[in-house]
Amino acid sequence: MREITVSASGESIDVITELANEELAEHSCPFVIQAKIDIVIDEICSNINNYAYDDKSGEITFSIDVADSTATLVFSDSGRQFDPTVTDDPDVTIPVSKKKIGGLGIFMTKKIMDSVEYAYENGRNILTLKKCIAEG
Amino acid sequence: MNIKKSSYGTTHILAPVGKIDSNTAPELQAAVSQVPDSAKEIIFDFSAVDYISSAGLRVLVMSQSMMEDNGGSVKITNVNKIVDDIFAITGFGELLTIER
Repeated sequence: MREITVSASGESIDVITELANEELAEHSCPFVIQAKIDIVIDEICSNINNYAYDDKSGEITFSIDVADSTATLVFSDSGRQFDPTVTDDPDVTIPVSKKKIGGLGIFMTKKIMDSVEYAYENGRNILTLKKCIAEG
Repeated sequence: MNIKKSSYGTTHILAPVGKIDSNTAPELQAAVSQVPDSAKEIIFDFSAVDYISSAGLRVLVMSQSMMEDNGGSVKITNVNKIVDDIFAITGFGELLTIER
């Protein structure tokens, strides 16, 4: 298991991604799955960076653990309370020119990960994501 | 992010290298902004792209809207399986022109 707390900023995405990839590589995660997990990290961190804190000076705590071929990622922050599991999925059928892009990152997260769970405890948003990393 | 640029006639080709995510998507957007108004087609050559997140999808969508407004078009070529899966998951595969 690996864990880190970083500032909620663009640079944090690369730091968290690198940490996650170390854990995934240790468990022989196929690149196709690792890349999709990296995408999810980008989506979740971007949302926290852009929307969780008013003064952009918050932090993100991230942990990743692989056990029994399942990667469990946990993102937590002390920003405004927000449950991404109850957001509406974007309409992906409307014409490109009229497409609203809001909510796309959370939608992709839900589609990529096997499970997405949210909790709000002691003033912290806690998002727990799981994905099987076994090939096939 | 390294973006290789080339053109022939009114077709401009942008070939980004690596991942297109929230950190690198602005660089791709900047490259699109530098394509002259006279361009009739932008081809995104994804042969060296590892994966794309929603930030990158936004750049593709906005590029297509921009080009269509000017009577032009956008095409994405040489996508790998990961990018293809992302296009399928999000439905963008139906909305963008993907040449396989």
